[in-house]
Amino acid sequence: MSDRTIPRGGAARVLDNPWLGRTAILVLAVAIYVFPLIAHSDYRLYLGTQVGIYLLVAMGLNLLSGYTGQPSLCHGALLAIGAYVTAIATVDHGWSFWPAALVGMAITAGAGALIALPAFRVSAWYFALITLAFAEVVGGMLIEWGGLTHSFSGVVGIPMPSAFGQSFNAAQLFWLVATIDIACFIMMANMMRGRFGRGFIALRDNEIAARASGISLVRLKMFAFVVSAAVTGLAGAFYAVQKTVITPDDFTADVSIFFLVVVVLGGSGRLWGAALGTVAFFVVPELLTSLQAWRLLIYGVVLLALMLFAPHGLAGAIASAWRSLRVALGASPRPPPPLATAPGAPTVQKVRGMAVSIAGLLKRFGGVTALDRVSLKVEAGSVHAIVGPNGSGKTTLLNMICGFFRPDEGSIRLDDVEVVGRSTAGIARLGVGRTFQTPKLLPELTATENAMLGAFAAERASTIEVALWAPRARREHAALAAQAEHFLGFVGLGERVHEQAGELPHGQQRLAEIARALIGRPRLLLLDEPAAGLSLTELDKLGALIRSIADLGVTVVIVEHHLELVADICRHVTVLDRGTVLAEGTPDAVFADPAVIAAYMGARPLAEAAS
Amino acid sequence: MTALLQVEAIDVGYGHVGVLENVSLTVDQGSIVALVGSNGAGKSTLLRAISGLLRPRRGRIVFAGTDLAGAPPNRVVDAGILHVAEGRRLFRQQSVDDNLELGLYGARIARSNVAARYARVFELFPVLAERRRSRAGVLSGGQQQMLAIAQALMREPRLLMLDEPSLGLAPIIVDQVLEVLLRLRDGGTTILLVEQMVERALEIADFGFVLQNGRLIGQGPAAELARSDIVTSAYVGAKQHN
Repeated sequence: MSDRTIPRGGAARVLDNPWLGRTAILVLAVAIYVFPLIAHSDYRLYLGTQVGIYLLVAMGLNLLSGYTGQPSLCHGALLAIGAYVTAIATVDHGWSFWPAALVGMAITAGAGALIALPAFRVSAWYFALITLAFAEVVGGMLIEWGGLTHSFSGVVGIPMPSAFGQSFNAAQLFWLVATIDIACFIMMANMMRGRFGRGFIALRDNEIAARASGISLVRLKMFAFVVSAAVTGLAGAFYAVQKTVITPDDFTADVSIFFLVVVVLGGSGRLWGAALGTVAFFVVPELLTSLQAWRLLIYGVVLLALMLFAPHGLAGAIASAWRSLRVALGASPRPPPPLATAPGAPTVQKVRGMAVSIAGLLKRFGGVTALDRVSLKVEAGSVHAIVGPNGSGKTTLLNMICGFFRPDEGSIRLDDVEVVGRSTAGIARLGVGRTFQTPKLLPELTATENAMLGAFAAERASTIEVALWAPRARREHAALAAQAEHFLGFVGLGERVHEQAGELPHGQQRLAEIARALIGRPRLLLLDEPAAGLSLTELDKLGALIRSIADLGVTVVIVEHHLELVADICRHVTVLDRGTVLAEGTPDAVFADPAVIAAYMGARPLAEAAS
Repeated sequence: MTALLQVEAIDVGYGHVGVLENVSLTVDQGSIVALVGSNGAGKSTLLRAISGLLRPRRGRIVFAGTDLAGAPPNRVVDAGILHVAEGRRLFRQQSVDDNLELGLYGARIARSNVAARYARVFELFPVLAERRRSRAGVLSGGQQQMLAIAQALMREPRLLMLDEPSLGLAPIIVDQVLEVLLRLRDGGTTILLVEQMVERALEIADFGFVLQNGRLIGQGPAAELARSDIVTSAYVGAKQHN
């Protein structure tokens, strides 16, 4: 097991000081702003501005493809839309740059919403092909719709933006683009540490966990598309003014592929990935132009080497090299987490449990009847077990209560609300939490961040507040993190709150899932085999945990094979067998029922199994 | 009895984290050996090291006279060690038959013997014979576990390693699975069993090893271990047996 008390030497004190990172970023920002003064060449300045523009596109694409997991091959086309709208408005209609850029951004965002529509229905691979087709259509329109776009000759003489009657020079354009890049980077960083970041990653890594946490997939995906496209459209506006001439040749399919290469090899789904990728795959090759024909060969070899040796892109490789360096210098691989600034432990309020009333539930999968007119009542505030042989329909029943499947017939009422036909996210928001047979956590996020995902629907700070990290967003974030740590402590993971969920042992991942469900303050908690794979000690703790959850007033429905646990914590047991209710009643009565013993428990009586 | 597998003083870890330290154990030919310990003790890690999925930092893994430490998994399988991992890792979209056939992937056996192999696993697991054409993904949990074991048995392993075969199974199915393990042992297969249901595991095992925090803290004949305090102490604050 890992040794937790690594001695902290002088090197560790320096490395763990938060000012180290802040100073590095400040130096970088100063360097960027000073660059035009020391560039001493129009070419370098031009290149610098272009990097800024490409970086915007890469950040937009990273949001969509890296974080949200929707591979797009049409960001070149979105760039074209932003550029053409700006160019046409300024050149042909005499608009000033600013409204033209805004309209360009809005129209590109609209195009983003349009390509989002198929993404709700198709898998990621199909989606990539659809975006490719979209890029082809846009490319075709740039040529065929000559009355608007001037076809092959393109739009010529796009004016620089101007302010106070003065047209920008190249250095001023650079500063403007750099400022927008930095602002965009900061807002992106804020979004990613807030609920949107967790939501996007949930969409990418585990849609089921996202839905169970009350996230509306449609709305969040649409949001990612629109933001990503808007940023790309804004980049397009600057692209047009920087080039002064744009033609359809500037936006071939290669451009879209180039951006995907930048994001993936830079480090997809990592904040610095887009920046590192843009520098590595745009600037470096430009600077190598003197090598002429060798350039492409070197470029190709570098791409291959990266794919082989840096599976998480440049950003991932640098992060892991940094961890190794820290270890070599005698520090822990990751900086120690900030001490919790929790405003006291949040009090866990009692809730009013939800009653469940199921009548005549029928579900067929193909020719198999998974549930055959099952009726079942769960009293508010009770702990109710559903047991039965494998394949008897227990998990199917849970999946229908929380809306993952729609029953063919029958009704499910939670308190007095009929939920058949409601969306999963809608049912979750009524106060239904659940855990899964195989824990569905987001492996790259910490236990705390995973728990925080469970409160997605409860957060109130608006998009703008989160992007600007306004006081309300900051307060909410701190309160939520404190709550997450509290609930992780409640389930017994108090010591592992900052560990990556994927590194937790299986049994503890289950507990983290329970914490994620609890933070949403459920009134009904559905647990799917929480005890599978737990040791005896852990079983005892789980039993105590479930009892204390019930003490909060929460109704608990548990599917479980550990009969001693069931007998210990439940007042009612329902036995399912091949989709029908075989027996129900108190544990004592049910586990003594000969039919249950024959179908489910086998020859070992409970007393012996529970010894 | 002769030792089939000897693990000698291995250290195993992931990245910067060490998991197993100086672990040695011996599995005798034709026995069932149970490996018990609380979650996170390193049981699955030990199986992964033996099957070549993890490379030990130190130590030897001698199987039938050959040191396999650091050998790639395919060589370990060829040597006759089959690992049924936790959580029924099947080809869910493939039929039962296809899953069984994939169990023979790369095995050098005569065509004429293949039918006999099928017959043997169907004899052990009659329920699979009834569902040969079903996709593995639609089988019940118990049937999937049986299929996972059957897939390994297609190769007629000399050592079968099982990681938590009872996970998520109804009690009556657990009985059936353990029953099959006893029959396999009686047929000459050596079994290394990792199981959270300690008592059930020690009931069918001949010998047991107890792991705690990556170290071996006890070993002995299974019946003795079941009665001793070592197992209880491996689960700190473990339930008092009544």
